[in-house]
Amino acid sequence: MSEPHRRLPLLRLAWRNAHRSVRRTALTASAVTVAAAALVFGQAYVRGTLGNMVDTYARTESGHVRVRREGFTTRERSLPTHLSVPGAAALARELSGLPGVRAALPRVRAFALVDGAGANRPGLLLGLDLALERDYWRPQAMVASGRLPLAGRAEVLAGEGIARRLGVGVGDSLTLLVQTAHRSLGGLRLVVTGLGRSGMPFLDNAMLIVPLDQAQGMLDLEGGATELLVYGADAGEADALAGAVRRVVENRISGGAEVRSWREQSQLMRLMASAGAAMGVVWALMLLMAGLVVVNTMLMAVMERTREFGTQAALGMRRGDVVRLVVAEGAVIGALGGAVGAAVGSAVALYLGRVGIDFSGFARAIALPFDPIVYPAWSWADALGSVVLGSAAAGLAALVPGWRAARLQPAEALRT
Amino acid sequence: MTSTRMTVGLVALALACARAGSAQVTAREVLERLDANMTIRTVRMRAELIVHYRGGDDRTMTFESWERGTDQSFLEFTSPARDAGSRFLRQGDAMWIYLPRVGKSVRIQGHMLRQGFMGSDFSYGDASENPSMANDYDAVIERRDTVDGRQVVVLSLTARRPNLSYSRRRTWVDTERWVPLREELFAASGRLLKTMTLSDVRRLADRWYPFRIELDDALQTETTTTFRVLEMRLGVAVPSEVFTLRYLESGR
Amino acid sequence: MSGEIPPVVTERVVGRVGAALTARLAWRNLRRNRRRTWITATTVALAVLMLQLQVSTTIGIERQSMDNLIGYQTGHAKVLAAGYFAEREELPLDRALTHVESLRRRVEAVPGVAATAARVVFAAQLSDGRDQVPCTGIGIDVAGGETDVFRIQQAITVGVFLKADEPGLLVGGGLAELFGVQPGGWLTVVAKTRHGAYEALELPVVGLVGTGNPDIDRMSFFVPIGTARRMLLMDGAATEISVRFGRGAREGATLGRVRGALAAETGVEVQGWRDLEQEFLVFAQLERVAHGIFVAIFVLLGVVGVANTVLLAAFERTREIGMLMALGMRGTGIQRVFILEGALLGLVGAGVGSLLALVLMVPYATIGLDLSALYGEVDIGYPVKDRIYGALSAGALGVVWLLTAALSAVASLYPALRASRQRPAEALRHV
Repeated sequence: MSEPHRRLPLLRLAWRNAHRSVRRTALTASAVTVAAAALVFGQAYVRGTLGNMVDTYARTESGHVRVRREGFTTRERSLPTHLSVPGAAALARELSGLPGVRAALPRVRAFALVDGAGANRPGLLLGLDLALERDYWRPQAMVASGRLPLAGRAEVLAGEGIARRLGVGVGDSLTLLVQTAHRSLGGLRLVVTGLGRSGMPFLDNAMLIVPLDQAQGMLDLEGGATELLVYGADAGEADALAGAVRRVVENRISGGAEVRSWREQSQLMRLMASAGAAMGVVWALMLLMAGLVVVNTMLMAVMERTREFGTQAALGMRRGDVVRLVVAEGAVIGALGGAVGAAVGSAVALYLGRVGIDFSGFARAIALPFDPIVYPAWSWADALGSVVLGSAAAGLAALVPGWRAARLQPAEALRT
Repeated sequence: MTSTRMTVGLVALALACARAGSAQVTAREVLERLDANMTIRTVRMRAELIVHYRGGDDRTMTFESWERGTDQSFLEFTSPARDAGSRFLRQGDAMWIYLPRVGKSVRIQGHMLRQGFMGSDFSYGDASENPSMANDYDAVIERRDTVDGRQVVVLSLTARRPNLSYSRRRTWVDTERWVPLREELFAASGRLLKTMTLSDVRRLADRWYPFRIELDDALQTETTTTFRVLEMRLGVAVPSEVFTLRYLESGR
Repeated sequence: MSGEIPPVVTERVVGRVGAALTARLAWRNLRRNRRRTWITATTVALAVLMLQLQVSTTIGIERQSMDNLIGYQTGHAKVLAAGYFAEREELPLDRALTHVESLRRRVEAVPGVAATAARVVFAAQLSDGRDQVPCTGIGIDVAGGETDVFRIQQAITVGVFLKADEPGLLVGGGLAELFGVQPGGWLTVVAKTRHGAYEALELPVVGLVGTGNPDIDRMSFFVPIGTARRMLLMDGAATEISVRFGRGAREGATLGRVRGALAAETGVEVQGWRDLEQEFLVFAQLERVAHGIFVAIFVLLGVVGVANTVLLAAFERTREIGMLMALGMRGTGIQRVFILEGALLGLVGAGVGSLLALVLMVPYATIGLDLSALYGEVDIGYPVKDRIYGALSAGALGVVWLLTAALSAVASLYPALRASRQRPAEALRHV
């Protein structure tokens, strides 16, 4: 009996079939669920880790765009204060008015000789605008005991390591000696208001965080700073931002200016791109695995429905349609499984994204700009993508059982 | 430096003049006369320290100082304004620095000793050492020469004890005025480390003193330093309190 | 079926089903549906492949890092003068070991110790006449054990190694870059002798080193120990004696023996490399956790695959299970069969995956992966340079393999339970 060819309402049928046996559907979908959850959470985790690295690096070292005096970076080994950015504070205010600029922060970085309780040792002086840096350097997150210094006061947050070696604690005094911007000798006596823990040993053994004005005074910077960090809304806009900053800064710094976007400052970008590619391979593998499981389960399902397929074939359903139907079923189940998986993965990612995964128990990376707490970065694109990919993988996987089903001869089928 | 030594020196000087032109002086004698001339009992000085940078900048500071013998010195910077009030004290081997904005004295030791005094080419470590040439070095006369029209004896000095910073020196001594006109400081291997050029020699009471010293570090070209005496008075009474920490910190 | 089965048959089926029978049943079941078995096995194989490669990478890079730390900086242990370790940042020359040779002999006599070498480490400045840079000088005993304990010569990027009696400089790459100096150039080393006098030596640069460790590459240079000793007036003294343990030697035990051998010496202390490189160990641990999370996800997927298959099998063979139960086979027996099926799936799949991994690991371990081509000059945190090598460890391979089999068995627990919970009558009715 031949019927006029009509278009099968594939999706509707597939949907209905999927709901016929919840158990079967669940079995098939389970693998896709795990893969999707893994994909969503895994991407969030990797993005969180790498993003963490980039973020920490941008916050503490490079900014999105960094302005320095020309020549400072080649001599960075000795942090020459005389090669500073004059009028950095004023420049910062001007730059923060530019479109796309969220913040422009002057910072001071210099070596200091620290004298405390008899011995002296070298330390790293960090002058920060403690109010503005709350969202950037985040010194408040580093306070292990005591409190942050207050602007205008001769106070310091000392790294735990250096404080211990000097034999000082909260409430004690430290004397700092520095070479000023005029290459003269400067210094200041400071009260330790708190001890800091950054999670990075090289910092904890050297850092001395003081209010920016104190550092400027100590180093005779007169409103200047050793570097100016500019932040936009997103690290991705850094290059464009650099251009804008360069135009403003161009002839304003005597001795020449060095303006670099964060990309130019490090190879981190390359690392991220490679990591991204590697992750792609990993996820493909996972989807392959899920697909294999789907093949298994759907084959069994097809076998169970031999009679049904046989009947359909006898009624004139064409082979192509059988295949398409089974593929559609696969896709639907994949989408369902993917949705559940994406939901689970998203839930975990979002929760941990707020709470953070704290590695500081196992502690500290060597010299990597690494925050010990990782916040997975969930993205709806990943969630959506995992559903789509899950559906596609399952659909593709369903080709095999689909062909199997299509090859069933009606007579055989009905005989079962 | 005691007055006895000065007397001896004067006597030797007199004798030498009496026998002018006859016997040659030995290296040791040269050193002794050098020491005699250069070592001062007490002195009050006003001087300039100029650091020249490779890029072409100069940085000038002036200070006032009191010195007693070779072991005690006190120094206070008077200009520029940012350096004014910075003080330095040396008592034997120990050195302290005081910056008004620090408000407390800091002992110079360890890491800091290698650094230049106020960023100059004179290191703190060098300042803490004030060797007596005659006692601390063995000398040999290399040759006689002329520098800027003056007769000099070129001495080659070797350290007598191992803990002197500069194991070898070469000094061009002006044999009329007993003033070094040039000094080269060497490492034990003989590698040149620093060169000093002394000039603008003026008479001061019974002695001669170079009013200008240029110091060049042979290992780097980033800086050279000039030291210029503006005013110098010998034999002043220097109260002992000057060489105390209290004076260092309070100025009184 | 009624109870008309001859007692003989019943006897054979009722009662405890032996292990051999269970195994045969499980194996036969797997073979019955080849395609399903192989598909599942492939899923597991893929998971195990990833796992093995990750484990290989982690072990490999840790080994490389430790090799580098031990091979370039610390040896397995250091003998130091008492009080030196506490002041080690000052590099004090006055806290030095004096009777070096007798100490060395004493230590080398300890079973487990392969070699010792003396070093003189000192604070110095390097100068090219234009600029002066503070750094660390390391005097190495080229003829007296340095090459038996350390392998600096393998880190040479340009030029040649030092010769025992020829004054020369081996400069860290980063340091050399500051001066723009290459082998053939000259640099002046300035340091203070033990007593405090300046010494400066002009030395020819014979080579540059790149170890991956910034402490060396950017901050240090090497000279023959004789040059350092003469320069610093150290006589025969040394600031440290580094010790390398033998290949098969057990670290903890050997360290203890070395300490014991020197216990009588009052002016001496021994530090193991783990005490000296705490920071690295903590970092490696951190990385392991991070990698572990990642790998766990794969394992989970593989486990799901196995559970899935066993569950499928359970549903498919409901009838057969029913029959077995009617014949008296107890629930536990049925469970065991399914669990074993799962375990076998895992075993086979993991075996295939491990074999595949092995094939990939051989070039990975021998040729390695060139990181600098991928990442450029980024500091990845491990003190390794440019190439990383996977580890070819039979132990790791075996452990992962067996562990996967075990996990597969665990994954089959629930399906097996479901299978065995079916009532015989219902099962038999199932079509």
